[in-house]
Amino acid sequence: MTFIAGMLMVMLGGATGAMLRFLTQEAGKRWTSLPGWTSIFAVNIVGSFCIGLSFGWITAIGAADAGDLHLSNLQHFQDAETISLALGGFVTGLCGGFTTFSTFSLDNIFLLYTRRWQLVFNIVMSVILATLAAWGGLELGGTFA
Amino acid sequence: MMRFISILACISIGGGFGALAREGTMSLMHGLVGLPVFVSLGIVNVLGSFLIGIVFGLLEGHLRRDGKSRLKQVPHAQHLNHNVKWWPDGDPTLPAVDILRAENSLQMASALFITGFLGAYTTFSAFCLLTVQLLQANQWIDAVISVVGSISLGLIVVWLGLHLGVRMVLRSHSKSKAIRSD
Repeated sequence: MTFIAGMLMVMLGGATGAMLRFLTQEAGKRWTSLPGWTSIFAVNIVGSFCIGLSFGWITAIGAADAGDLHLSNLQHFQDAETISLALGGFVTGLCGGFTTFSTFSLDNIFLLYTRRWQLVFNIVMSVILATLAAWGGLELGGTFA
Repeated sequence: MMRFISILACISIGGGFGALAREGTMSLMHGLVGLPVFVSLGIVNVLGSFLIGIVFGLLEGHLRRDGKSRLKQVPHAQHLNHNVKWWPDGDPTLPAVDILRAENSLQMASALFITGFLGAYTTFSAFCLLTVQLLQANQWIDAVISVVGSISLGLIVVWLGLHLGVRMVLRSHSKSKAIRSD
């Protein structure tokens, strides 16, 4: 039962995240004149901050009864059902589904043929800023619980 | 408005299954096979990038009729333009109904497969969170392999996927041409 609930949480989060990403893209197209890849750039950075925040927050809440938590033992949650559901919904589902790697790669291949400096900017800044955002979110989230 | 809602519905269905498929692949690769998490996530991201290349090439090649496809920016698409009359300005005989139908199918299919499924299947945020965790655990080499490997392999396989997708479109075009001329 928990297994199915976990699957549903991941699906629900993924569906919401994908819709939010699409809406961001549409808003970027409609209200700004920035090139198309910038909306995915923004989505990835914001999503990375949110994953750090939610992961830090949820694991800090669960740390009391679940012990040492790490992304690598997400599958082994047996005791903390709620924690695992929340992680599935927000971390794997919502933030994981909101950000994307495939569209990022696809945008990069088109930039490679047309605007090389934007390609370099997109790759370097996405990695640096999103990693910093995830780290900042993680630190901030840890202080909430 | 109706169209916008159906696009959103397609995206949410695709996104739900995409996130679930990522969780499934991760537990298969990490839980069952025992690969490290950063390798499993790398496989997910690279595989998704390959698939997005194929699907994008196929959908744009088959269904894009307004001549604005981003495929035009890519060298392999020159074959499309050269070998078959691909762009609408090269094919004025297409009736307006066909153009509208193709445009609708393109939007729905790309909402379902590209924005929805593959967009949610691959992830940038978990990739960055993992990089942070690897760095915090002083596993610098793994972090560098994860970042450099995922991004460079992602670019290579998107290129391969696009090439393959355009090839598939070309083949089906030449097949239908052969049937028509018989």
